[in-house]
Amino acid sequence: MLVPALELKDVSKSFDTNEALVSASLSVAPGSIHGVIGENGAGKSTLMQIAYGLEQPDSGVILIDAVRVNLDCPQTAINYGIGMLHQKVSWLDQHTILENIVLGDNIHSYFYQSSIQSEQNLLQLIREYGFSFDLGTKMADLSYGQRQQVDILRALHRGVRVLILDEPMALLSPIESGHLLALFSLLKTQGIAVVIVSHKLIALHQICDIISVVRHGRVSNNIAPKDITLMQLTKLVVGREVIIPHPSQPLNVKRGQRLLRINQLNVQFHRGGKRSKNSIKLSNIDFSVDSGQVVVMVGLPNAGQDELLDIIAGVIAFDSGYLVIGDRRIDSGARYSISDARRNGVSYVPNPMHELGLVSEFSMAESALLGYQNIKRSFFSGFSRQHNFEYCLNLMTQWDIRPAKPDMKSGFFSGGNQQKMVIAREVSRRPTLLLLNQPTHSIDVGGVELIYQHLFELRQQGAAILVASNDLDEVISLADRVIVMHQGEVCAQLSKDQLSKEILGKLMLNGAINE
Amino acid sequence: MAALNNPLVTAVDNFEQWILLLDSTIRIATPLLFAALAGMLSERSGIIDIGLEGKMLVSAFAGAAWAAHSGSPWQAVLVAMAAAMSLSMLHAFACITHKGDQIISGVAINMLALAITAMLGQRLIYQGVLTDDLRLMPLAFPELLPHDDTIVSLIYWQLLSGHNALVYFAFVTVLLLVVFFKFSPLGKRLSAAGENPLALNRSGVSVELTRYLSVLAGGALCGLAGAYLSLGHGAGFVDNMTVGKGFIALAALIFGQWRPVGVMLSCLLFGFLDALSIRMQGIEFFDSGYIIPVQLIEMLPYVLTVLVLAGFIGSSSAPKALGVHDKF
Repeated sequence: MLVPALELKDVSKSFDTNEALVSASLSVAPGSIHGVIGENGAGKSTLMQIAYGLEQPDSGVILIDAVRVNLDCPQTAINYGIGMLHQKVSWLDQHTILENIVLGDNIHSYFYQSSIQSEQNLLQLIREYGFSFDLGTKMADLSYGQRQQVDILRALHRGVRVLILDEPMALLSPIESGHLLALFSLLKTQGIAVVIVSHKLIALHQICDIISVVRHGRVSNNIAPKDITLMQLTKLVVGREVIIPHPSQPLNVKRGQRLLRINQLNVQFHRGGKRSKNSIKLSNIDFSVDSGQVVVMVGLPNAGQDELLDIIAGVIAFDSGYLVIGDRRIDSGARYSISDARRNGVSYVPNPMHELGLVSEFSMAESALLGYQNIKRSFFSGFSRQHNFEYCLNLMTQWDIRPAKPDMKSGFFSGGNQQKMVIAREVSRRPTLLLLNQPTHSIDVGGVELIYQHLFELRQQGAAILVASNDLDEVISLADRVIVMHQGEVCAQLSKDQLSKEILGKLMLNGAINE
Repeated sequence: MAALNNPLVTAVDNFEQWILLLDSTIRIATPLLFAALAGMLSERSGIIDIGLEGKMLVSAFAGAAWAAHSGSPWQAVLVAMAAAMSLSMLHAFACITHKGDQIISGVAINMLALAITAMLGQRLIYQGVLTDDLRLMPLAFPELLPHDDTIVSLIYWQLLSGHNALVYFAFVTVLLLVVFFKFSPLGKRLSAAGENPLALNRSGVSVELTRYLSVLAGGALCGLAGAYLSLGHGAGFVDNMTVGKGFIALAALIFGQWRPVGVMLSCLLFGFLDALSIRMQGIEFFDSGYIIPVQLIEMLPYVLTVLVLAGFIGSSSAPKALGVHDKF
């Protein structure tokens, strides 16, 4: 038996009165791909944050190569060879890859530090692992997938032994995950352990050597995926069998009226209040969404989906073209804000990574009211604590948001439960046009099923739903029609029966099928 | 110097007058430069430093008080730096550790400084002039050139020679900071903390520690600005002796686009305008009978700063994360 590269023993942690981990133990073998799964709020993230030194355990010990260590901050964890790939990659965009990576090198001289040694080490790593970029490239010129690879390169440069991936988006599309998986198998041969925290059970079932299931703050099972079917895996996570990929529901309302029309929309990139000439963010966007229809936009990150949804929701302005929402036409110079949009029956669930949905300092009851705080029940009544509390509790039971404590601060809920609350809030207002950006990114299989049911129900009632998603399983489950975005343009529109992962993957990457 | 005191001088009409004007420009610009560089260190790391005025005032007071009691001006300079750094520490503690509002903390420091120096000034030391041996003495350049009326000699003896050590140090600091930001790993971390703290955090460097260090270094430079006021330029402490210099330094910082050389040039420009406004008092506008209002010239630094901020002169390139609290 090999000595585990990283071992967490009987780790407990509670926030406020909420127990996130109850003597959980996790042991990661060197050179393995180790999946960590569990329901929203089960304690996966907390476990990983403890392993990376972001949180301190209330009790329990952490062992690295069987030596007890005290990880008081991420810097210490990095020095012990623990690396983490965050969901949100962030780099100094105007600097080169080399400059970005050496930024965190140990300082030998305060006045001048040569980066030649680091550069040689990095070149060596690039050759060994076959990365496809040059050290002198500016960060801004890289694609999202490449930026994440630079993160892996940096971890290798620091001598990583255990690489933790927190909900990697790259697993979602076949082409991006292809690069990543090839990289993982190389890492394995070097004895580096990869820990993946994700809800995407299909992908984990395929790639992992061992999967740990976290339930109610404990690590309840350690299983090898080859001994178990996908269906049994879902049962271990949510306690009942869930069919994944989630089946789509056939559309059985006849085509209704046009609820959203986008006509020749153009947006240029703005910096510091000035329009810069060359970079176009969105060009000639032209499509429409009818009632009783779920339209899904796919594309690589930064292909323009975020901006388009922001425009329709009234968050940012556009330069030319026009929108028609319901029967209201909005021209480029028109006054159109989020509250205008809301008055026209538009609801918006922003990208959960931007953390715009809730105010983490508010109680959940208050967060459940955000955006609709001006809707009065009668002329005289303002806020009623009691009413808010009951409203929120009602949403929580309907949408299975746990813990069902409306008084708890929003920030103490797990990411998946926060996101469920945002979707619940918007869907429960019965919008005619619902906009969702990466709606199920951090949500467990049971929650995803629930959300899809609610969305299909909303569609049945005649609402139009426009979703941006990178998760191809989600695209295939939800979509009645798919719009593929590539570098700020709509490069293809596909109907439900034309969908396949291969076609979508190629379109997302190249903007065309043949190439 | 005689020309400066002569009320009959009507305009800057010959070369010697120009030299004298530039000479006072340098004297006026030095404390601005120290303070603006202090602000630069803090703001490049993402912490707004509106408390420059207060820190200058406290360090001017501390320097004068220490000089009066110990008799050593150089010890006094160190004490002045320590005093300003203690206020910087307060600012850093409020803004970095407790994520307080950076503007409010800065304003509080300004108010605290004004009040505490006025009160202690009356209780502890008698206000007024320090004796000459308690000041930082002017340094004379070596006798390389004869004292005569040639241009080179005037520049050498009148403009360059005869300032105290802090003046020269201010300009050396500019050079050091250029090198610091260009080559030093710490300098790169510092500007990363102000441009994209999340990226710095991701690379495993503590943003908080980086910001603490830069705010404290800013405090040290600000202490030199105050020390120059009470030990170099003037002698002794007077109530509210900074009279808004901290804010002009802040304006120079913005006008100089948060870059060492730019900040130096804008400090010299603002110093020149100040020197000019002193000399323009009571001067008629092209013999038209109208007296040029001095206030018009004194106003210029602020007008220029507003124009820069509004985007009329170049584009304002503030550190992107200036004043933003980050969640990691």
